[in-house]
Amino acid sequence: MSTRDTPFAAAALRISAGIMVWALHFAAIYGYTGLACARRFLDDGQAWVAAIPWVIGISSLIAAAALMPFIARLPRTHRADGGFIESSSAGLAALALVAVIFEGVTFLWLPPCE
Amino acid sequence: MRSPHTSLPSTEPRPPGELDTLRRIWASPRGLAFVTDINNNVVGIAYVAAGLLFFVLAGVLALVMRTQLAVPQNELIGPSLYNQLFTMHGTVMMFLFAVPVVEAMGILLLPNMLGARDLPFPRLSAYAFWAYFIGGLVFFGSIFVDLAPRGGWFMYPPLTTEQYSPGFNEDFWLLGIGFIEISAIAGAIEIIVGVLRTRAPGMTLDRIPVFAWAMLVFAVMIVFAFPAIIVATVLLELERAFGWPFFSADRGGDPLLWQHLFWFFGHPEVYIIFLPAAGMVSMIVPAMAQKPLVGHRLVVLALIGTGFLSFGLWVHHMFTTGIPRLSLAFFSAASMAVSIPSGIQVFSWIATFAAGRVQWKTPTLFIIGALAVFVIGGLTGVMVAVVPFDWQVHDTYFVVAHFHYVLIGGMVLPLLAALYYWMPYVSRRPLSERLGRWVFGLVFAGVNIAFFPMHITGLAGMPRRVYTYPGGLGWDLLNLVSTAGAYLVAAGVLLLLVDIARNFRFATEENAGNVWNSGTLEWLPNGNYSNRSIPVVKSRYPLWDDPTLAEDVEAGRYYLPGAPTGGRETIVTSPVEARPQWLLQMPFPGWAHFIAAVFTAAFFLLLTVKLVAPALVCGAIATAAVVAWLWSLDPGPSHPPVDVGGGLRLPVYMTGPSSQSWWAMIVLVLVSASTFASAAFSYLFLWTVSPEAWAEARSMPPAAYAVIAAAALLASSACVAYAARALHDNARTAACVMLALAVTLMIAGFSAELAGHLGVGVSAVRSAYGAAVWLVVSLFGFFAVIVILMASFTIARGIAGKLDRERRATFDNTALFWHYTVAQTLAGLLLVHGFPRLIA
Repeated sequence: MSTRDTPFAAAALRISAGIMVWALHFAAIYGYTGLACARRFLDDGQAWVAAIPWVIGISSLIAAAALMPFIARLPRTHRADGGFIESSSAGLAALALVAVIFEGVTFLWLPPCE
Repeated sequence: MRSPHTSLPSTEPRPPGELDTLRRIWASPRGLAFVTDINNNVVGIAYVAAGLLFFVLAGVLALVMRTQLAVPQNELIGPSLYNQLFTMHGTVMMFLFAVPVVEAMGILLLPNMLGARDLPFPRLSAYAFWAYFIGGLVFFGSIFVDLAPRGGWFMYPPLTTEQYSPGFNEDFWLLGIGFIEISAIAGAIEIIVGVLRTRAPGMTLDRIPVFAWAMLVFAVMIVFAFPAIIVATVLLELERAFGWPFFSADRGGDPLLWQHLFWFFGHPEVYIIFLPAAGMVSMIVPAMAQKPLVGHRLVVLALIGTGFLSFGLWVHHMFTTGIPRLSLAFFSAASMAVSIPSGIQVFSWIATFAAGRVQWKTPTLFIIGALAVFVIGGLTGVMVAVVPFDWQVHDTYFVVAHFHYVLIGGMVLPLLAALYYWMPYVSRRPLSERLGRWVFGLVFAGVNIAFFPMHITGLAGMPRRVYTYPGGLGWDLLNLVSTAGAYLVAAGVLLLLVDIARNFRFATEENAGNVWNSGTLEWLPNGNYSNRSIPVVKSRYPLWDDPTLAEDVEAGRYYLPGAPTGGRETIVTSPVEARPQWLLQMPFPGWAHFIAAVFTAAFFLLLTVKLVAPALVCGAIATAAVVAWLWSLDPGPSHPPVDVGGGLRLPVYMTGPSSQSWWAMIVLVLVSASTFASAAFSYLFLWTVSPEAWAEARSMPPAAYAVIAAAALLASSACVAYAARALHDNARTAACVMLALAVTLMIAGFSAELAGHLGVGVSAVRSAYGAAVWLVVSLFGFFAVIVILMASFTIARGIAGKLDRERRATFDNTALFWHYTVAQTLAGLLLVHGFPRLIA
């Protein structure tokens, strides 16, 4: 067993990485949609609105791709904490993936800004 | 019994008088000096009792409301009092009962559960309690003088602006709960640092009890959620008191800004309440089933996942505000996603019961009842997460039924289970099993009789927040039944109080003990000092896995069996693997926290009724008390390393990232960052809804002012960095001079920023643009005052000879917050000066 302490910041970031990806994705799609809809009356506003489905689709694909490595990584059970950090990271990333998919597919059914 | 105890850290026989010394050091003050006590057992019990008091008081308000609504066209109370009643009921339940009582349970239980002597900042806990209790009582008293707020617990403007709600009533809400927000954040800091740094050796992340995980997530959520409501209340009070138009549409404001800020706090608030209660259930279920929690890791993941996802749900309280459907769909989807971790916990509890041999005692009954009620509330929650359905039932009694099912099933019933379960931990006698079953029966039946019909009342169209209604609309019988149910709940609560009065006898050393055969550390024999010795944890249920643990701990065979420094102390361990790192010397009882709390509450309450001068005096006294309190901290390396058992020698002083105060400062930085983010969001939100108000930015200050302010700030940071180097070289005078120079530069920077805006006449009342600009500038000023006070305090310690290269925790904290303040203010300058130029 290693006698070196795992740095807390590294452990916390590792555990919450997946959920942070979700948070960034959520902020991006909601922020962009809100901004584009609010500014649609500007001269070039309609171009912003037209890009909404693309922004949601592409950012969702990027977020899903970013989550995959966390989900795929298996826990290392020989560690002192029995792989808690790895399995937590994978589990939360899987939950984040579900949320990203739920939120990312909405543009397929709903028009922007109505 | 294990014969030789040679494998345990501390040898026997223990020195004579060791236990008596421990008792004397940790003894509670008697008589009136009770208020000076800071021990978690005493403060925790008082905190829980205060929470229950407010629960009963808010419940009485609910009974009056239900009596009014029992029959149509009732004349018992008028609309004004009814408005005060429902506002106070919601506010008191949420701010004075739900959040404080779960925080109180954490303060009471966590030290023993984690194997610590106490939490790392016991004075902070005591301060949080007294500020909340005194302020809360005065706040509640406002209803007796017709001064209670009337705008609902969510206080939506424009109804709550000065124009539509003149007088002090709404100010009581806005300023009156200010101290509760401070109290909650203070408690959150205590809990975060406590769970991460004061666990027993060996209690790795995977072995932390689920309740402690839940409290950690709870506290982190407070750190990120409460600043939003703090900013919101400040904005509304600024509009009410000074006319800054954040919410007035005619000058570029938008009432929806309030709703965004409020619900960014308000939705996580539901989980802030639910998660600790879920943590309690996850502790009680294994004990009552005599089986380890099924899916322990998944439950921990569910707690963390729920905590995060709950921040993506706020707009689901705003489905009827005209936000585009696509945006609503994001929140609807997130609402669906969050039901997954909630479901994981529910299935885990059911599976644990199914796998074990259940003790059918009162706590079990409350848990089963909670599961049923919470699942119904959860299902109706998924229903209202469906946007078209929500449009139909919004602001009807269906929603009242939904959130009462969620909150009662998710928090109140688990809390009652917890009261019955943990009572033997703090009392000579457990509560009565016979009375407990009656309490459960009355409360469970009453809740369902009161709230289930409300689903139908709501579907039948009865709106919320009406003080009476016409007969013959199909609501009469349903309302009468709901009122009968409310009285049943009241009878159950009354019986609970009788049970507590008959059986609760506060005790630590002579408590009733582990009557449930539970497996976690809080059930070790304990006293005010927590455990006689601090065990090494090797599993999630140490008492089950090592049957002699209690005896060994009580015999002082583990770590820290005495008080090697002669004072109060606890072991600080590493945050991930929980390896012992150093010994934290803890404070003794004192008056400073009590005085600070009394005058903090007085400051806010006097400000509410516009008694500005007395409020300022109270604020000054509170600040002086805090300074006196802090002056006694940071003792320096006054003691050589001590043996805590097994030849393990630990230092008794630590600075920098290893110290507990550094961790507290990091949490405070997160609170500050969240506050700034809310202010920045307000600025940008107002721009999106009122770009025309930003036309005024054409006359913004020349860039030179911002450049001068930024340069002064960066120079001040450089001075602080240089002071750190000087202190490292033991050049104390140079360090103090550099700090003084940093203070001067901070003042110069703020003055430049102020002069710029004053010079071009940016008005805070003319438009939302001006209000938003002055909000960011005010934040700059507020943080400048804080860091100047901190630096002055540090300089004073230097002059008093309490600062050197070893004794530098105070300096390190000041430097950390200084650099953060500079970074935040630079971001603010960029927003105020750069953004308008960018969009121009």
